[in-house]
Amino acid sequence: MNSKIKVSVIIPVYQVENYLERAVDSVLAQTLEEKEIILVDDGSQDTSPQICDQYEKAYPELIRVIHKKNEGLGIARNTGIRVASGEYIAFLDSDDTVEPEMYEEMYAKASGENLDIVMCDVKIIYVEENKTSIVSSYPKENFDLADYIANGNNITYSVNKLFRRSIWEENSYEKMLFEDISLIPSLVTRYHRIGYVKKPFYHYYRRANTLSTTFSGNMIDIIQAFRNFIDTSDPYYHEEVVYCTAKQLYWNMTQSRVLFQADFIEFLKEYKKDFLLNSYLAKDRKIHSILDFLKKDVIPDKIICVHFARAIPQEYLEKITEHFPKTKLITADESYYSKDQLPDNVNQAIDSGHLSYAEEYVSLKLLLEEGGIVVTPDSRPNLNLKKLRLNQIFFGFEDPDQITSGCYGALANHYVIQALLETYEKDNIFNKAFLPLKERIRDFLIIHFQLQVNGKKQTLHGEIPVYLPSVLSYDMQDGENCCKKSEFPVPEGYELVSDTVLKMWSDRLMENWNLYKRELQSKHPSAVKTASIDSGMLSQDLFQRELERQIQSVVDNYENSTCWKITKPFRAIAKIFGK
Amino acid sequence: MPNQRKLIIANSVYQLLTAVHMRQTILQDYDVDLLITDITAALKDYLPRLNETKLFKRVIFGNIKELNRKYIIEKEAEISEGFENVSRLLKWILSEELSIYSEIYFANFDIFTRMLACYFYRLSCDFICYEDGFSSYVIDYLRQDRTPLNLHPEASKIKDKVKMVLLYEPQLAIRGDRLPNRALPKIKRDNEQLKEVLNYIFNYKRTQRYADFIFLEQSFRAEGLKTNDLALISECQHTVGSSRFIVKPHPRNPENIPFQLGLTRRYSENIPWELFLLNEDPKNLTMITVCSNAALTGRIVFGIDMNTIMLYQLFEGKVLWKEDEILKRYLRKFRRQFAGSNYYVPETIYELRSILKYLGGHDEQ
Repeated sequence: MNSKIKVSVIIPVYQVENYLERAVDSVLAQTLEEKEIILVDDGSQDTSPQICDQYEKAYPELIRVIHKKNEGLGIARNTGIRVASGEYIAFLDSDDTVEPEMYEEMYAKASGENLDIVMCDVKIIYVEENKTSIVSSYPKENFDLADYIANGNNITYSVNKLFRRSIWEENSYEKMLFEDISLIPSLVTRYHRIGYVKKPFYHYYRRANTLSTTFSGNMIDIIQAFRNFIDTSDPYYHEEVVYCTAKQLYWNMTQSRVLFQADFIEFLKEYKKDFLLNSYLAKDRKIHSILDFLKKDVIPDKIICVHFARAIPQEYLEKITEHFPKTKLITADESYYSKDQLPDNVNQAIDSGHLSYAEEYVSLKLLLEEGGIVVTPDSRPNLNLKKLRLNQIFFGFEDPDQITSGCYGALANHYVIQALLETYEKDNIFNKAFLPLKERIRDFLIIHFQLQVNGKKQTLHGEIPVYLPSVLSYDMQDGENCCKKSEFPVPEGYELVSDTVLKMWSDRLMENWNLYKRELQSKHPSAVKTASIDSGMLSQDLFQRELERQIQSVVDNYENSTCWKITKPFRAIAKIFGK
Repeated sequence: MPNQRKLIIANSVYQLLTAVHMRQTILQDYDVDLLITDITAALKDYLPRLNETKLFKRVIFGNIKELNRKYIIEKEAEISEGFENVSRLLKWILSEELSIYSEIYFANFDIFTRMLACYFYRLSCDFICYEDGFSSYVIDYLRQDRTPLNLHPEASKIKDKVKMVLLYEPQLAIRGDRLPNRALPKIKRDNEQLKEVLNYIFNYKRTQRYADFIFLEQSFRAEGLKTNDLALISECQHTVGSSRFIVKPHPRNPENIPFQLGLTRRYSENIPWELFLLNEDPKNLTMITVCSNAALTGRIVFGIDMNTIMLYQLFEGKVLWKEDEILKRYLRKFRRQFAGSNYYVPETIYELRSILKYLGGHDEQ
């Protein structure tokens, strides 16, 4: 390795034993000779470190390996940058590949025109679907930067670009997800000498279960990445940067990361004037539609946990860290409010040992003051809970008869929460007998909003959703759970569900199943016959297996039918009128 | 000296109790005749003992039930004919001839009382209405559109004769008429003399307590109303346990349906409810009712703050007090101003269960 190196290719490596060789080989096959490859092993636990070492041993002049503890992609790239000696730097993700001519042609362009950044197009390979598509960065090779920022593609990628190494003397990746979005587009606005080779040199392999296709709590970093993009870009391109961000937001809010919609809405509001006054947005009807979200209130990103005379369980805190790393966790114990801030009956409850009654009051009080989502120490929230922030207030059933007080949320100063709190000041049975909050909420909703106590989802007066027990109390493994009770330890892979909820769930499935059968029979009488079995022809065991197979087949058909999905609301309406 | 003789008409046990009380308090310095009627059949049984007490100058008995029934359904001409013959009718239906009175105390604006008003119309005799439960607080019986009788020239003469309404809690009155409301003194439970007299009249003997939770049935079935009262009774029994729960049947209901359905043990006592309240310690006793006046008696008459659960918010059925805004207002006013901390009006069935459990009921399951 020496100063003649034209391009340093940095490959962060983390748990990619199946793909790493393909990636490295694609760089070794580059037609550009004056290159170096820096493999930054980011604390992999698989055989990736050994594979790296073998490459270094085989190509000591070409390949350098750095082993470090796991800190994420951005920090791994920074580590590689620090040891890189090439005139330009390129990044390659360890599960992707590059065309052999990529770095030679891009370097030629860069050095020939004294450019800071050169980029190319990207070929996306959809692995499972066995399809490819080429995403052109810009329609023309000679491009206008402002137009590129506003209307180009691939602006956020690190990997389809060649960067002058000196850029990295004053810039580095942050330790976060979406480090690319946070930094690269901003660099594009600040380093104006940019070139473009209009060829799809970079091959991006898109698979299920990768960062871009699965969700995790720290994906909230995308908000900070957008913020960084707007705040650190060259102000000269502010209009284009805001529009570019709006396009990314549109995609994230409506397609790829709807789960985080409440966070995006808060971000929109944070830069409200920038979006509202943007001239590009004003002309783009489709993207302009994101501004409708500005009218929507979302529950603040706060979790309220009140714990009187008990510690918050470690498992609870781990869930918060895992799923809600940027959420404000408000914890309160018995010293949070002074006695004179609490009603007499709550003080009496504390004095007489009815701590859960006092806990519940303080939870409500904090919810009124702060807004957010109350999650009791006995409950375990998961990432899906974010979805519920799109409500102004929400509750859920614990079972067919009870509303859960383990998890519920509201905007600050919501009138329902205010009214519930005021019931603590009144002479009623709930206060006399220190009854649990869940009874107070249920009866309040019955009296004022005609709650039907049946465990079924309903939206009261069009504004207060009350969810199924599967949403806020028990995980029925249907993908809908947002928070579940965790009062008793259960083995891995098991769920503890109350018998009433289990029965309700079973009835619900049967109801749907029978509805499906009726519809199927009315439309395709012959289809039902396929599900009939001549039990006399089969042994009991075979019969059972055949029955299960046929049931599964019909269930799959039923669940996957587009027609069935589309007509669901109509059936629901017809059912209501049918009653 | 002007005539100061008074007459009290009593149609029910509750009215009789108040009549005795008035005799011993506000009318203690006067000669007082008592007129008890067959509107409540049992009153006739108390007649000998009433006489024995010598509380009243005379105790007269009136068979007025048929009279009231007959004229309430007659046409105007027949009503007019009846009012023309009041003197003769009175001779037929009363056990003794009436005297001349300066004041007549009554509780119901029925045909009989209206006839008396005609009978005494030209004499200096004031009619004074006295408390008959919550209807005395909320119903303007003389409003023109309430009954055709109020448009009849004779039957409506009572309007000129009534001077005031005596109530145990006059501040609760919201009838909307212009009659002044005056206070009746409360009956003090430690008034042993009154208690002794009343116990003698009603031949009250102390009994064992029936149960800790007493459901006071109302006359919905007698009035042909379709309601959910049996479901409410069942809910209460289920929550507190059958051994501690009993339903006091309403005398006007033709059958004891709750008993037949197994919703209660047999309630065999036949003592007036008010006397029971006067004598028994209400501690740990809970009264449950849809909206029976009897449940309010303890508070209104005796000032006892006993556990009372009013189920009218959970009641389903077409009854006057569910539709009449004045009655609703009365119930709200009663609750806010008077009910006390042991008065419960559950708004959901779940709240009812919680209240029953809080008051000592338990689930037998």
